[in-house]
Amino acid sequence: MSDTPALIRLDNVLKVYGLARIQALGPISLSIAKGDFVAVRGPSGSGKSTLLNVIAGLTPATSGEVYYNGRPFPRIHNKASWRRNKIGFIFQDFYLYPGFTVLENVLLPMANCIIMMPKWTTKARDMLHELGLGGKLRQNINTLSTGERQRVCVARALLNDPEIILADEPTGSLDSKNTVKILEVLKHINEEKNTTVLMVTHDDNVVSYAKRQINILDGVIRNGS
Amino acid sequence: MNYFSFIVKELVRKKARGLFAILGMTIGVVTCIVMLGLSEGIRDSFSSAYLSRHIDIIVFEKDQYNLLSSRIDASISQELQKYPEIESATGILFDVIKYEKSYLPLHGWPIESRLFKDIKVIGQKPRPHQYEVMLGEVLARTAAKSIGDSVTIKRKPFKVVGIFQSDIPIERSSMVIPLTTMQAMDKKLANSVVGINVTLAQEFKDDISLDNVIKKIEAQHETLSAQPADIFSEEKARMFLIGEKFATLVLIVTVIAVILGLVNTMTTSIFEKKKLIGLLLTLGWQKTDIIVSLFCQALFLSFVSGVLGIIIGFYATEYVYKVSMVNMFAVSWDYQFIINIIAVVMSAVIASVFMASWIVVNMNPLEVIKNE
Repeated sequence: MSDTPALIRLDNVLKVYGLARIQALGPISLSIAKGDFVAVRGPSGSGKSTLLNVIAGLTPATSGEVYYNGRPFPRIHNKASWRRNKIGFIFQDFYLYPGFTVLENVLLPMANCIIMMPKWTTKARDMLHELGLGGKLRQNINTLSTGERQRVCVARALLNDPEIILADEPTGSLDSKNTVKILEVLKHINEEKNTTVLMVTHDDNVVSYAKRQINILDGVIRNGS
Repeated sequence: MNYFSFIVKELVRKKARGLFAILGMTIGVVTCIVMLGLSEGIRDSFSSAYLSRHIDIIVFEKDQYNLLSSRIDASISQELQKYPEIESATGILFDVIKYEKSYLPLHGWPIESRLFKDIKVIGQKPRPHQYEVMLGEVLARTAAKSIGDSVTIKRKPFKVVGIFQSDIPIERSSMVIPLTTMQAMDKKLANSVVGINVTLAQEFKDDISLDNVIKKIEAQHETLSAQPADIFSEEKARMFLIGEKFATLVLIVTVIAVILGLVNTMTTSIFEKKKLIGLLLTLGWQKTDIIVSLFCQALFLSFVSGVLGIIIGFYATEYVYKVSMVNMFAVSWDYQFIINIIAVVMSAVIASVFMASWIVVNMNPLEVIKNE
Protein backbone atom coordinates (compact mmCIF):
# COMPACT_ATOMS: atom_id res chain seq x y z
CA MET A 1 0.00 0.00 0.00
CA SER A 2 1.31 3.50 -0.87
CA ASP A 3 1.95 6.21 1.72
CA THR A 4 -0.92 8.40 0.49
CA PRO A 5 -4.30 7.06 1.55
CA ALA A 6 -6.46 5.58 -1.16
CA LEU A 7 -9.33 7.75 -2.33
CA ILE A 8 -11.70 4.82 -1.86
CA ARG A 9 -10.87 1.77 0.22
CA LEU A 10 -13.07 -1.20 0.98
CA ASP A 11 -12.07 -3.46 3.87
CA ASN A 12 -13.78 -6.86 3.90
CA VAL A 13 -17.03 -5.32 2.74
CA LEU A 14 -20.00 -7.66 2.68
CA LYS A 15 -23.43 -6.78 1.37
CA VAL A 16 -26.34 -9.06 2.12
CA TYR A 17 -29.89 -8.27 0.96
CA GLY A 18 -33.19 -9.02 2.63
CA LEU A 19 -34.41 -11.60 5.07
CA ALA A 20 -33.30 -14.32 2.69
CA ARG A 21 -29.74 -13.11 3.35
CA ILE A 22 -28.77 -13.06 -0.31
CA GLN A 23 -25.08 -12.30 -0.48
CA ALA A 24 -24.69 -9.77 -3.30
CA LEU A 25 -21.14 -8.67 -2.59
CA GLY A 26 -18.06 -9.78 -0.73
CA PRO A 27 -16.33 -10.09 1.41
CA ILE A 28 -14.35 -7.74 -0.75
CA SER A 29 -11.27 -5.57 -0.18
CA LEU A 30 -10.39 -2.97 -2.73
CA SER A 31 -8.29 0.14 -2.94
CA ILE A 32 -8.77 2.84 -5.57
CA ALA A 33 -6.23 5.65 -5.69
CA LYS A 34 -6.92 9.19 -6.82
CA GLY A 35 -6.53 9.45 -10.56
CA ASP A 36 -7.09 5.76 -11.12
CA PHE A 37 -9.17 4.50 -14.07
CA VAL A 38 -10.60 1.12 -13.08
CA ALA A 39 -12.73 -1.11 -15.26
CA VAL A 40 -14.93 -3.50 -13.32
CA ARG A 41 -15.93 -6.58 -15.29
CA GLY A 42 -18.20 -9.43 -14.51
CA PRO A 43 -21.34 -11.20 -15.71
CA SER A 44 -24.84 -10.00 -14.82
CA GLY A 45 -25.64 -10.49 -11.14
CA SER A 46 -21.99 -10.73 -10.18
CA GLY A 47 -22.22 -7.75 -7.82
CA LYS A 48 -20.87 -4.92 -9.99
CA SER A 49 -23.82 -2.62 -9.42
CA THR A 50 -23.85 -3.42 -5.70
CA LEU A 51 -20.20 -2.38 -5.61
CA LEU A 52 -21.12 0.99 -7.20
CA ASN A 53 -24.02 1.34 -4.72
CA VAL A 54 -21.75 0.78 -1.76
CA ILE A 55 -19.03 3.12 -3.04
CA ALA A 56 -21.60 5.85 -3.76
CA GLY A 57 -23.11 5.50 -0.30
CA LEU A 58 -26.48 4.59 -1.75
CA THR A 59 -26.61 1.43 0.32
CA PRO A 60 -24.66 0.68 3.50
CA ALA A 61 -22.32 -2.29 3.75
CA THR A 62 -23.69 -5.10 5.91
CA SER A 63 -20.25 -5.56 7.41
CA GLY A 64 -16.73 -4.33 6.77
CA GLU A 65 -15.69 -0.76 6.27
CA VAL A 66 -15.68 1.70 3.37
CA TYR A 67 -13.23 4.59 3.55
CA TYR A 68 -13.27 7.79 1.57
CA ASN A 69 -9.97 9.67 1.71
CA GLY A 70 -9.09 7.59 4.78
CA ARG A 71 -12.33 8.58 6.51
CA PRO A 72 -14.81 5.82 7.42
CA PHE A 73 -17.99 6.19 5.43
CA PRO A 74 -20.42 6.25 8.37
CA ARG A 75 -18.73 9.45 9.58
CA ILE A 76 -19.92 11.28 6.46
CA HIS A 77 -23.17 12.62 7.86
CA ASN A 78 -24.76 14.09 4.79
CA LYS A 79 -24.14 11.44 2.16
CA ALA A 80 -26.48 13.07 -0.35
CA SER A 81 -24.49 16.28 -0.20
CA TRP A 82 -21.22 14.34 -0.37
CA ARG A 83 -22.51 12.49 -3.43
CA ARG A 84 -23.53 15.72 -5.11
CA ASN A 85 -20.13 17.31 -4.56
CA LYS A 86 -17.78 14.36 -5.03
CA ILE A 87 -19.45 11.84 -7.35
CA GLY A 88 -20.53 11.95 -10.96
CA PHE A 89 -22.79 9.22 -12.31
CA ILE A 90 -22.97 8.00 -15.88
CA PHE A 91 -25.58 5.38 -16.72
CA GLN A 92 -26.06 3.01 -19.61
CA ASP A 93 -29.64 4.25 -20.06
CA PHE A 94 -28.72 7.90 -19.40
CA TYR A 95 -31.63 8.56 -17.04
CA LEU A 96 -32.24 12.06 -18.23
CA TYR A 97 -35.27 14.01 -17.06
CA PRO A 98 -37.97 13.81 -19.73
CA GLY A 99 -39.63 17.08 -20.72
CA PHE A 100 -36.61 19.09 -19.57
CA THR A 101 -34.16 20.80 -21.90
CA VAL A 102 -30.54 19.74 -22.41
CA LEU A 103 -29.27 22.58 -20.20
CA GLU A 104 -31.83 21.88 -17.47
CA ASN A 105 -30.82 18.23 -17.38
CA VAL A 106 -27.19 19.15 -16.89
CA LEU A 107 -28.13 21.56 -14.10
CA LEU A 108 -30.35 19.00 -12.39
CA PRO A 109 -27.89 18.07 -9.57
CA MET A 110 -27.87 21.74 -8.49
CA ALA A 111 -31.58 22.42 -9.06
CA ASN A 112 -32.47 21.86 -5.42
CA CYS A 113 -30.99 25.28 -4.60
CA ILE A 114 -33.34 28.20 -4.02
CA ILE A 115 -31.10 30.35 -6.21
CA MET A 116 -29.12 28.81 -9.06
CA MET A 117 -25.61 30.24 -8.98
CA PRO A 118 -24.74 31.75 -12.39
CA LYS A 119 -21.42 29.88 -12.30
CA TRP A 120 -23.23 26.55 -12.66
CA THR A 121 -25.18 27.75 -15.66
CA THR A 122 -22.03 29.10 -17.28
CA LYS A 123 -20.19 25.90 -16.55
CA ALA A 124 -23.00 23.72 -17.90
CA ARG A 125 -23.06 25.77 -21.12
CA ASP A 126 -19.29 25.53 -21.52
CA MET A 127 -19.29 21.78 -21.00
CA LEU A 128 -22.09 21.25 -23.46
CA HIS A 129 -20.16 23.35 -25.99
CA GLU A 130 -17.07 21.20 -25.40
CA LEU A 131 -19.13 18.06 -25.90
CA GLY A 132 -20.53 19.35 -29.19
CA LEU A 133 -24.00 20.16 -27.88
CA GLY A 134 -23.64 23.94 -27.79
CA GLY A 135 -26.39 24.41 -30.36
CA LYS A 136 -28.88 22.26 -28.52
CA LEU A 137 -29.00 23.84 -25.08
CA ARG A 138 -32.69 24.69 -25.24
CA GLN A 139 -33.70 21.57 -27.07
CA ASN A 140 -35.93 19.05 -25.35
CA ILE A 141 -34.01 15.98 -24.27
CA ASN A 142 -36.45 13.72 -26.12
CA THR A 143 -35.28 15.11 -29.48
CA LEU A 144 -31.64 13.98 -29.07
CA SER A 145 -29.94 10.90 -30.47
CA THR A 146 -28.64 8.23 -28.07
CA GLY A 147 -25.06 9.44 -28.51
CA GLU A 148 -26.08 13.01 -27.73
CA ARG A 149 -28.06 11.88 -24.70
CA GLN A 150 -25.05 10.09 -23.31
CA ARG A 151 -23.00 13.24 -23.77
CA VAL A 152 -25.61 15.16 -21.81
CA CYS A 153 -25.34 12.50 -19.12
CA VAL A 154 -21.55 12.96 -19.10
CA ALA A 155 -21.93 16.74 -18.86
CA ARG A 156 -24.29 16.30 -15.92
CA ALA A 157 -21.80 13.99 -14.20
CA LEU A 158 -18.99 16.52 -14.66
CA LEU A 159 -20.87 19.64 -13.59
CA ASN A 160 -19.69 19.48 -9.98
CA ASP A 161 -16.05 18.63 -10.86
CA PRO A 162 -16.37 15.26 -9.13
CA GLU A 163 -13.46 13.40 -7.58
CA ILE A 164 -14.91 10.09 -8.71
CA ILE A 165 -16.91 9.16 -11.76
CA LEU A 166 -19.00 6.04 -11.37
CA ALA A 167 -19.91 4.85 -14.85
CA ASP A 168 -22.31 1.93 -15.09
CA GLU A 169 -21.98 0.45 -18.60
CA PRO A 170 -21.64 3.98 -20.06
CA THR A 171 -21.27 2.73 -23.63
CA GLY A 172 -23.75 -0.13 -23.43
CA SER A 173 -26.38 1.67 -25.51
CA LEU A 174 -24.03 3.35 -27.98
CA ASP A 175 -22.67 2.56 -31.41
CA SER A 176 -18.91 2.21 -31.87
CA LYS A 177 -18.44 5.82 -32.98
CA ASN A 178 -20.21 7.26 -29.94
CA THR A 179 -18.55 4.67 -27.69
CA VAL A 180 -15.14 5.99 -28.69
CA LYS A 181 -16.29 9.60 -28.16
CA ILE A 182 -17.48 8.91 -24.62
CA LEU A 183 -14.42 6.87 -23.69
CA GLU A 184 -12.14 9.60 -25.02
CA VAL A 185 -13.98 12.12 -22.85
CA LEU A 186 -13.58 9.91 -19.77
CA LYS A 187 -9.91 9.30 -20.56
CA HIS A 188 -9.37 13.03 -21.05
CA ILE A 189 -10.97 13.89 -17.72
CA ASN A 190 -8.99 11.17 -15.98
CA GLU A 191 -5.70 12.38 -17.40
CA GLU A 192 -6.26 16.14 -17.39
CA LYS A 193 -8.16 16.56 -14.14
CA ASN A 194 -6.88 13.50 -12.33
CA THR A 195 -10.48 12.42 -11.78
CA THR A 196 -10.87 8.85 -10.60
CA VAL A 197 -13.03 6.72 -12.90
CA LEU A 198 -14.69 3.48 -11.89
CA MET A 199 -16.37 1.98 -14.92
CA VAL A 200 -18.50 -1.15 -15.04
CA THR A 201 -18.39 -2.81 -18.46
CA HIS A 202 -18.76 -6.03 -20.41
CA ASP A 203 -16.89 -4.77 -23.45
CA ASP A 204 -13.23 -5.84 -23.92
CA ASN A 205 -12.56 -2.82 -26.17
CA VAL A 206 -13.75 -0.50 -23.45
CA VAL A 207 -11.54 -2.17 -20.85
CA SER A 208 -8.47 -1.12 -22.85
CA TYR A 209 -9.11 2.52 -21.92
CA ALA A 210 -8.73 1.71 -18.21
CA LYS A 211 -5.45 1.72 -16.33
CA ARG A 212 -6.44 -1.48 -14.55
CA GLN A 213 -9.29 -3.90 -14.39
CA ILE A 214 -11.08 -5.88 -11.72
CA ASN A 215 -13.02 -9.04 -12.46
CA ILE A 216 -15.93 -9.83 -10.17
CA LEU A 217 -17.70 -13.16 -9.99
CA ASP A 218 -20.35 -14.07 -7.41
CA GLY A 219 -19.64 -10.89 -5.51
CA VAL A 220 -15.97 -11.60 -5.07
CA ILE A 221 -12.94 -10.14 -6.87
CA ARG A 222 -11.25 -12.85 -8.91
CA ASN A 223 -8.27 -10.79 -9.96
CA GLY A 224 -6.97 -7.30 -9.23
CA SER A 225 -7.57 -5.37 -6.00
CA MET B 1 -33.34 26.54 -13.26
CA ASN B 2 -33.74 26.66 -9.48
CA TYR B 3 -35.82 24.73 -6.97
CA PHE B 4 -39.02 26.71 -7.60
CA SER B 5 -38.77 26.57 -11.37
CA PHE B 6 -38.08 22.84 -11.06
CA ILE B 7 -41.36 22.43 -9.11
CA VAL B 8 -43.25 24.50 -11.68
CA LYS B 9 -41.72 22.54 -14.55
CA GLU B 10 -42.63 19.30 -12.84
CA LEU B 11 -46.22 20.50 -12.55
CA VAL B 12 -46.53 21.37 -16.22
CA ARG B 13 -44.38 18.55 -17.55
CA LYS B 14 -47.33 16.21 -17.88
CA LYS B 15 -50.12 18.66 -18.54
CA ALA B 16 -52.81 16.09 -19.25
CA ARG B 17 -51.98 14.16 -16.11
CA GLY B 18 -52.06 17.34 -14.03
CA LEU B 19 -55.35 18.43 -15.53
CA PHE B 20 -56.90 15.03 -14.89
CA ALA B 21 -55.67 15.12 -11.29
CA ILE B 22 -57.23 18.57 -10.84
CA LEU B 23 -60.41 17.42 -12.56
CA GLY B 24 -60.64 14.33 -10.37
CA MET B 25 -60.08 16.25 -7.16
CA THR B 26 -62.47 19.03 -8.25
CA ILE B 27 -65.22 16.51 -8.96
CA GLY B 28 -64.55 14.97 -5.55
CA VAL B 29 -64.86 18.31 -3.76
CA VAL B 30 -67.95 19.27 -5.81
CA THR B 31 -69.62 15.98 -4.92
CA CYS B 32 -68.89 16.50 -1.23
CA ILE B 33 -70.26 20.04 -1.31
CA VAL B 34 -73.41 19.14 -3.23
CA MET B 35 -74.16 16.26 -0.87
CA LEU B 36 -73.41 18.48 2.09
CA GLY B 37 -75.56 21.31 0.70
CA LEU B 38 -78.51 18.97 0.13
CA SER B 39 -78.34 17.39 3.54
CA GLU B 40 -77.78 20.68 5.38
CA GLY B 41 -80.37 22.54 3.33
CA ILE B 42 -83.11 20.04 3.99
CA ARG B 43 -82.36 19.88 7.71
CA ASP B 44 -82.04 23.63 8.15
CA SER B 45 -85.23 24.26 6.22
CA PHE B 46 -87.07 22.62 9.09
CA SER B 47 -85.02 23.68 12.05
CA SER B 48 -85.05 27.34 10.98
CA ALA B 49 -88.85 27.30 10.80
CA TYR B 50 -89.18 27.86 14.53
CA LEU B 51 -86.00 29.63 15.42
CA SER B 52 -86.38 32.45 12.89
CA ARG B 53 -89.89 33.22 14.24
CA HIS B 54 -88.59 33.70 17.78
CA ILE B 55 -90.75 30.79 18.89
CA ASP B 56 -89.55 29.39 22.18
CA ILE B 57 -91.92 26.51 22.91
CA ILE B 58 -94.04 24.22 20.76
CA VAL B 59 -97.12 22.72 22.35
CA PHE B 60 -98.66 19.65 20.73
CA GLU B 61 -100.73 16.58 21.54
CA LYS B 62 -98.99 14.18 23.87
CA ASP B 63 -97.60 10.95 22.41
CA GLN B 64 -98.05 12.16 18.83
CA TYR B 65 -95.06 11.66 16.63
CA ASN B 66 -95.54 14.82 14.58
CA LEU B 67 -97.70 17.85 14.09
CA LEU B 68 -99.72 16.29 11.27
CA SER B 69 -101.34 13.80 13.65
CA SER B 70 -101.53 16.19 16.63
CA ARG B 71 -104.91 17.67 17.62
CA ILE B 72 -105.39 20.26 20.37
CA ASP B 73 -108.42 22.23 21.42
CA ALA B 74 -107.95 25.69 19.89
CA SER B 75 -109.14 27.41 23.05
CA ILE B 76 -106.01 26.29 24.92
CA SER B 77 -104.00 28.95 23.13
CA GLN B 78 -106.15 31.63 24.79
CA GLU B 79 -105.49 29.98 28.17
CA LEU B 80 -101.76 29.98 27.58
CA GLN B 81 -101.90 33.59 26.50
CA LYS B 82 -102.87 34.46 30.08
CA TYR B 83 -99.61 33.16 31.54
CA PRO B 84 -97.48 36.14 32.62
CA GLU B 85 -94.36 34.54 31.13
CA ILE B 86 -95.95 34.19 27.70
CA GLU B 87 -96.00 37.04 25.21
CA SER B 88 -97.96 35.17 22.55
CA ALA B 89 -99.48 31.75 22.03
CA THR B 90 -100.61 31.09 18.48
CA GLY B 91 -102.57 28.00 17.56
CA ILE B 92 -101.92 26.88 13.99
CA LEU B 93 -103.07 24.22 11.59
CA PHE B 94 -100.76 22.44 9.22
CA ASP B 95 -101.46 19.85 6.59
CA VAL B 96 -99.90 18.44 3.47
CA ILE B 97 -102.33 18.54 0.58
CA LYS B 98 -102.34 17.35 -2.98
CA TYR B 99 -102.12 20.21 -5.42
CA GLU B 100 -102.17 19.25 -9.07
CA LYS B 101 -99.40 16.67 -9.36
CA SER B 102 -97.46 17.38 -6.21
CA TYR B 103 -97.98 17.62 -2.47
CA LEU B 104 -97.65 20.96 -0.73
CA PRO B 105 -97.72 22.27 2.83
CA LEU B 106 -100.91 24.14 3.72
CA HIS B 107 -100.83 26.47 6.74
CA GLY B 108 -103.81 27.75 8.65
CA TRP B 109 -102.84 30.89 10.58
CA PRO B 110 -105.04 33.12 12.72
CA ILE B 111 -105.64 36.37 10.81
CA GLU B 112 -104.53 38.45 13.76
CA SER B 113 -101.40 36.38 14.25
CA ARG B 114 -97.94 37.94 14.27
CA LEU B 115 -96.87 35.17 11.87
CA PHE B 116 -98.00 37.44 9.03
CA LYS B 117 -95.55 40.08 10.20
CA ASP B 118 -92.67 37.71 9.64
CA ILE B 119 -93.36 37.27 5.93
CA LYS B 120 -92.98 39.86 3.23
CA VAL B 121 -96.22 40.05 1.31
CA ILE B 122 -96.39 41.30 -2.25
CA GLY B 123 -99.99 41.89 -3.12
CA GLN B 124 -103.27 43.52 -2.39
CA LYS B 125 -103.82 42.41 1.18
CA PRO B 126 -101.43 41.85 4.06
CA ARG B 127 -103.60 38.94 5.32
CA PRO B 128 -106.10 36.59 3.65
CA HIS B 129 -109.74 36.43 4.69
CA GLN B 130 -112.34 33.71 4.23
CA TYR B 131 -111.59 31.87 0.97
CA GLU B 132 -108.51 33.79 0.15
CA VAL B 133 -105.02 32.35 -0.04
CA MET B 134 -101.46 33.58 -0.02
CA LEU B 135 -98.86 31.66 -2.00
CA GLY B 136 -95.18 31.25 -1.26
CA GLU B 137 -93.03 32.82 -3.98
CA VAL B 138 -91.58 29.49 -5.17
CA LEU B 139 -95.01 27.92 -5.42
CA ALA B 140 -96.41 30.97 -7.23
CA ARG B 141 -93.56 30.74 -9.73
CA THR B 142 -93.73 26.99 -10.32
CA ALA B 143 -97.54 26.95 -10.44
CA ALA B 144 -97.56 30.11 -12.61
CA LYS B 145 -100.09 31.82 -10.36
CA SER B 146 -100.35 35.51 -9.70
CA ILE B 147 -102.56 37.79 -7.63
CA GLY B 148 -106.19 37.54 -8.64
CA ASP B 149 -105.88 33.98 -9.91
CA SER B 150 -107.81 31.15 -8.40
CA VAL B 151 -106.47 27.93 -6.89
CA THR B 152 -108.39 24.88 -5.74
CA ILE B 153 -107.71 23.62 -2.24
CA LYS B 154 -109.56 20.52 -1.12
CA ARG B 155 -112.09 21.03 -3.94
CA LYS B 156 -112.81 24.61 -2.85
CA PRO B 157 -111.82 27.64 -4.97
CA PHE B 158 -109.58 30.19 -3.29
CA LYS B 159 -108.58 33.58 -4.62
CA VAL B 160 -104.91 34.45 -4.57
CA VAL B 161 -104.62 37.75 -2.67
CA GLY B 162 -100.90 37.75 -1.97
CA ILE B 163 -97.56 36.24 -2.78
CA PHE B 164 -95.06 36.21 0.02
CA GLN B 165 -91.36 35.86 0.62
CA SER B 166 -90.25 34.03 3.73
CA ASP B 167 -87.01 33.36 5.54
CA ILE B 168 -88.22 29.83 6.14
CA PRO B 169 -87.50 27.78 3.04
CA ILE B 170 -90.37 25.34 3.40
CA GLU B 171 -92.88 28.22 3.50
CA ARG B 172 -91.77 29.44 0.09
CA SER B 173 -93.50 26.47 -1.48
CA SER B 174 -96.57 26.54 0.73
CA MET B 175 -100.02 28.12 0.92
CA VAL B 176 -101.44 30.12 3.81
CA ILE B 177 -105.15 30.43 4.47
CA PRO B 178 -107.01 31.75 7.52
CA LEU B 179 -107.11 29.34 10.45
CA THR B 180 -110.89 29.60 10.77
CA THR B 181 -111.37 28.76 7.08
CA MET B 182 -109.16 25.70 7.38
CA GLN B 183 -111.04 24.57 10.48
CA ALA B 184 -114.35 25.03 8.68
CA MET B 185 -113.26 23.00 5.65
CA ASP B 186 -112.87 19.78 7.61
CA LYS B 187 -115.16 18.63 10.43
CA LYS B 188 -112.28 16.84 12.11
CA LEU B 189 -110.42 20.12 12.38
CA ALA B 190 -113.28 22.14 13.87
CA ASN B 191 -112.07 24.12 16.88
CA SER B 192 -108.74 22.32 16.64
CA VAL B 193 -105.17 23.27 16.03
CA VAL B 194 -102.19 20.95 15.47
CA GLY B 195 -99.89 22.91 17.70
CA ILE B 196 -99.38 26.14 19.57
CA ASN B 197 -96.36 28.32 18.99
CA VAL B 198 -95.37 29.98 22.24
CA THR B 199 -93.19 33.06 22.43
CA LEU B 200 -91.97 34.01 25.90
CA ALA B 201 -91.98 37.56 27.17
CA GLN B 202 -88.58 39.20 26.89
CA GLU B 203 -87.89 39.08 30.65
CA PHE B 204 -88.54 35.31 30.72
CA LYS B 205 -86.28 34.33 27.84
CA ASP B 206 -83.91 32.21 29.89
CA ASP B 207 -83.45 28.48 30.35
CA ILE B 208 -84.95 28.34 33.84
CA SER B 209 -88.13 30.19 32.84
CA LEU B 210 -88.40 28.09 29.70
CA ASP B 211 -88.21 24.96 31.79
CA ASN B 212 -90.74 26.30 34.32
CA VAL B 213 -93.27 27.25 31.63
CA ILE B 214 -92.97 23.81 30.01
CA LYS B 215 -93.54 22.12 33.36
CA LYS B 216 -96.49 24.42 34.06
CA ILE B 217 -98.17 23.69 30.71
CA GLU B 218 -97.68 19.94 31.02
CA ALA B 219 -98.91 19.96 34.63
CA GLN B 220 -102.10 21.82 33.77
CA HIS B 221 -102.81 19.90 30.57
CA GLU B 222 -102.15 16.18 30.86
CA THR B 223 -102.92 15.60 27.20
CA LEU B 224 -100.27 18.07 26.00
CA SER B 225 -96.56 17.96 25.47
CA ALA B 226 -94.43 21.07 25.40
CA GLN B 227 -90.91 21.21 24.07
CA PRO B 228 -88.32 23.89 23.46
CA ALA B 229 -88.57 24.87 19.78
CA ASP B 230 -85.01 23.86 18.90
CA ILE B 231 -85.40 20.38 20.39
CA PHE B 232 -88.82 20.02 18.77
CA SER B 233 -87.47 20.91 15.35
CA GLU B 234 -84.63 18.45 15.81
CA GLU B 235 -86.84 15.59 16.99
CA LYS B 236 -90.21 16.05 15.35
CA ALA B 237 -89.27 17.58 12.07
CA ARG B 238 -87.17 14.57 11.34
CA MET B 239 -90.14 12.57 10.27
CA PHE B 240 -90.15 14.70 7.14
CA LEU B 241 -86.50 14.08 6.68
CA ILE B 242 -86.17 10.51 5.65
CA GLY B 243 -83.87 11.92 3.03
CA GLU B 244 -81.80 13.85 5.53
CA LYS B 245 -80.20 10.80 7.10
CA PHE B 246 -79.91 9.20 3.73
CA ALA B 247 -78.21 12.31 2.40
CA THR B 248 -75.84 12.30 5.38
CA LEU B 249 -75.05 8.64 4.77
CA VAL B 250 -74.44 9.31 1.11
CA LEU B 251 -72.27 12.26 2.13
CA ILE B 252 -70.13 10.05 4.37
CA VAL B 253 -69.81 7.40 1.67
CA THR B 254 -69.00 10.13 -0.86
CA VAL B 255 -66.33 11.64 1.37
CA ILE B 256 -64.74 8.22 1.93
CA ALA B 257 -64.89 7.43 -1.80
CA VAL B 258 -63.44 10.84 -2.65
CA ILE B 259 -60.64 10.41 -0.10
CA LEU B 260 -59.80 6.94 -1.42
CA GLY B 261 -59.91 8.20 -5.00
CA LEU B 262 -57.68 11.17 -4.29
CA VAL B 263 -55.25 9.14 -2.17
CA ASN B 264 -55.03 6.65 -5.01
CA THR B 265 -54.44 9.42 -7.57
CA MET B 266 -51.74 11.10 -5.51
CA THR B 267 -49.89 7.92 -4.50
CA THR B 268 -50.04 6.58 -8.05
CA SER B 269 -48.64 9.82 -9.42
CA ILE B 270 -45.76 9.67 -6.92
CA PHE B 271 -45.00 6.02 -7.54
CA GLU B 272 -45.01 6.82 -11.26
CA LYS B 273 -42.21 9.28 -10.54
CA LYS B 274 -40.20 6.64 -8.70
CA LYS B 275 -37.56 6.48 -11.38
CA LEU B 276 -37.11 10.25 -11.46
CA ILE B 277 -37.01 10.45 -7.69
CA GLY B 278 -34.36 7.70 -7.68
CA LEU B 279 -32.34 9.72 -10.17
CA LEU B 280 -32.54 12.87 -8.04
CA LEU B 281 -31.41 10.95 -4.96
CA THR B 282 -28.53 9.45 -6.90
CA LEU B 283 -27.50 12.91 -8.09
CA GLY B 284 -27.29 14.08 -4.50
CA TRP B 285 -30.66 15.65 -3.76
CA GLN B 286 -31.65 15.52 -0.11
CA LYS B 287 -34.69 13.42 0.75
CA THR B 288 -36.32 16.50 2.25
CA ASP B 289 -35.81 18.45 -1.01
CA ILE B 290 -37.73 15.77 -2.87
CA ILE B 291 -40.49 15.42 -0.29
CA VAL B 292 -40.99 19.21 -0.13
CA SER B 293 -41.08 19.38 -3.92
CA LEU B 294 -43.74 16.65 -4.08
CA PHE B 295 -45.64 18.37 -1.27
CA CYS B 296 -45.64 21.69 -3.09
CA GLN B 297 -46.93 20.04 -6.23
CA ALA B 298 -49.66 18.22 -4.30
CA LEU B 299 -50.57 21.39 -2.41
CA PHE B 300 -50.86 23.35 -5.62
CA LEU B 301 -53.06 20.70 -7.22
CA SER B 302 -55.14 20.42 -4.04
CA PHE B 303 -55.49 24.20 -3.73
CA VAL B 304 -56.59 24.68 -7.34
CA SER B 305 -58.97 21.71 -7.11
CA GLY B 306 -60.26 22.87 -3.73
CA VAL B 307 -61.02 26.39 -4.93
CA LEU B 308 -62.57 25.18 -8.18
CA GLY B 309 -64.49 22.48 -6.32
CA ILE B 310 -65.92 24.94 -3.80
CA ILE B 311 -66.99 27.44 -6.47
CA ILE B 312 -68.49 24.82 -8.78
CA GLY B 313 -69.93 22.98 -5.78
CA PHE B 314 -71.90 26.03 -4.63
CA TYR B 315 -73.27 26.67 -8.11
CA ALA B 316 -74.02 22.98 -8.66
CA THR B 317 -75.97 22.80 -5.40
CA GLU B 318 -77.97 25.91 -6.25
CA TYR B 319 -78.71 24.36 -9.64
CA VAL B 320 -79.81 21.06 -8.10
CA TYR B 321 -82.20 22.93 -5.82
CA LYS B 322 -83.60 24.94 -8.72
CA VAL B 323 -84.25 22.07 -11.11
CA SER B 324 -85.32 19.36 -8.73
CA MET B 325 -88.22 18.61 -6.42
CA VAL B 326 -86.22 19.93 -3.51
CA ASN B 327 -87.16 23.48 -4.50
CA MET B 328 -89.34 23.62 -1.41
CA PHE B 329 -86.07 23.78 0.50
CA ALA B 330 -83.33 26.35 0.24
CA VAL B 331 -79.62 25.94 0.09
CA SER B 332 -78.10 26.22 3.49
CA TRP B 333 -74.40 26.16 4.15
CA ASP B 334 -72.64 25.18 7.29
CA TYR B 335 -69.36 26.84 6.36
CA GLN B 336 -67.51 25.40 9.32
CA PHE B 337 -68.60 21.94 8.29
CA ILE B 338 -67.57 22.57 4.69
CA ILE B 339 -64.15 23.72 5.85
CA ASN B 340 -63.90 20.62 8.04
CA ILE B 341 -64.81 18.31 5.18
CA ILE B 342 -62.36 19.99 2.79
CA ALA B 343 -59.71 19.89 5.51
CA VAL B 344 -60.28 16.17 6.09
CA VAL B 345 -60.12 15.44 2.35
CA MET B 346 -57.04 17.59 1.80
CA SER B 347 -55.33 16.21 4.91
CA ALA B 348 -55.84 12.71 3.56
CA VAL B 349 -54.28 13.83 0.27
CA ILE B 350 -51.32 15.45 2.02
CA ALA B 351 -50.85 12.43 4.30
CA SER B 352 -50.89 10.08 1.32
CA VAL B 353 -48.36 12.28 -0.50
CA PHE B 354 -46.12 12.25 2.54
CA MET B 355 -46.44 8.49 2.98
CA ALA B 356 -45.82 7.69 -0.69
CA SER B 357 -42.91 10.16 -0.85
CA TRP B 358 -41.39 8.70 2.29
CA ILE B 359 -41.57 5.17 0.88
CA VAL B 360 -40.03 6.20 -2.44
CA VAL B 361 -37.20 8.33 -1.05
CA ASN B 362 -36.19 5.50 1.25
CA MET B 363 -35.79 2.99 -1.56
CA ASN B 364 -32.36 2.27 -2.96
CA PRO B 365 -32.26 4.88 -5.74
CA LEU B 366 -30.00 3.01 -8.11
CA GLU B 367 -32.09 -0.14 -7.78
CA VAL B 368 -35.24 1.91 -8.38
CA ILE B 369 -34.02 3.61 -11.53
CA LYS B 370 -32.43 0.48 -12.95
CA ASN B 371 -35.11 -2.07 -12.16
CA GLU B 372 -38.30 -0.15 -12.73
